[in-house]
Amino acid sequence: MGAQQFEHAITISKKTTTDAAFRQAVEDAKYAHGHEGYSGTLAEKGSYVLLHTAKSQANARRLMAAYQDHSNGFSPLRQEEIDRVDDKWGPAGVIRFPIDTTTDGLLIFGWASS
Amino acid sequence: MTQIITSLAQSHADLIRAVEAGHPRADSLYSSARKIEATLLDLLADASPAQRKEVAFAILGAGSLKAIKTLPVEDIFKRPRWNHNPINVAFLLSRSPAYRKEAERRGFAPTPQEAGDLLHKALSQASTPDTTALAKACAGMPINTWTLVEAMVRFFRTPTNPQEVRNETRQSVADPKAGAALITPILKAALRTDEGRKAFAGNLETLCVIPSAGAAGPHAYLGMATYALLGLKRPANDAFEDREVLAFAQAIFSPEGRKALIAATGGLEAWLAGGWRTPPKVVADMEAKRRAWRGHTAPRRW
Repeated sequence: MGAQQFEHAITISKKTTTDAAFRQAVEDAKYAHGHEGYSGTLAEKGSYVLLHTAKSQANARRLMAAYQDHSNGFSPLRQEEIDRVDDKWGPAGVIRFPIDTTTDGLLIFGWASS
Repeated sequence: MTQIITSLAQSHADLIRAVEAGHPRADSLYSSARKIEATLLDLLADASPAQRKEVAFAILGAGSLKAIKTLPVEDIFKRPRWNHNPINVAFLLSRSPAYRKEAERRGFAPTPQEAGDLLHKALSQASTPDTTALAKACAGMPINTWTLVEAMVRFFRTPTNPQEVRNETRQSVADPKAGAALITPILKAALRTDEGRKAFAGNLETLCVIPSAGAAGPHAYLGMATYALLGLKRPANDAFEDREVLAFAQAIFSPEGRKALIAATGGLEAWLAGGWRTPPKVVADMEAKRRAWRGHTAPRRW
């Protein structure tokens, strides 16, 4: 059994909590990829860590890349920070960012068993 | 006619190479080279445009600026046409910037492979006096500088990050000062190209999104200081996520801050050569914040 990196972007209302949005996103992923496990997608995740609330979508994407891509040995983030979402059995990483006055975006990413 | 021109061009290149290699009779060889060049130019003046095009590859490798200027300005040396015309790229790249400019105007450009081979060779010989000459050659390369940087990336597998280049160079070159002398002009020249500026700016923006001062990686603040010393522009305030990181960037990227940083470190070359080990206060303060980081699951102290 291996692991795959996944990333999932959703748009939510500003009134929706991160927790409710994450639960709904996992349910949607299970509906799309099945309940049998080892799909290598968000469907495998049972918990999350809200890493940061970014100022913009561009910053959120850059930050997500910093958490995900550390193969070149030069990440702007310390290893302990990256390790928070570097486990296929651990929580997913979540970064929230504003889109406009009524909507926010969520980037959900991490490793999942496959 | 074309055969004589080709022979003269070849002889001229051989003599120039022998002179540059420090032949004991260098003066005599140089004098012969000047006479051959004069004959070569006379023959080229008499040659038709078709004949000049026919001998273009021989002239390109002859090492004569006056001769290369007689060639028509068009893409004669585009890559597919090189296949049956061996060119001594190392010899060409070691010519004067004016010579390379004339060659580039006619479509000459080394491939990343060729440029990388040269750079790799230079790095392995970096303790020899050739280093300075090669650094100058790289810096004077207006069009193909980025090719060299690309080659460096390929060889060192780095994201064109000055700090990472410094680390890799340190491993490849025995003497860090020689490595810094080689890399500094290449980085500065890369910054003058659009691709180089874009790549450096992208790296810097990635450093700017550090969500809190303590969460930064071990090279983050040293990397930002390197970019400031290199002369890169600070990203807009919106690119920063943390107030302390923004304040640090404002301090080192402002005109006064940059001047103070250069004064404290001795400039980019001294910084890359080992000055980063004892960073100035503004950088050391951020490093202290980084070291004071406590894990999210660590017990509280009170």
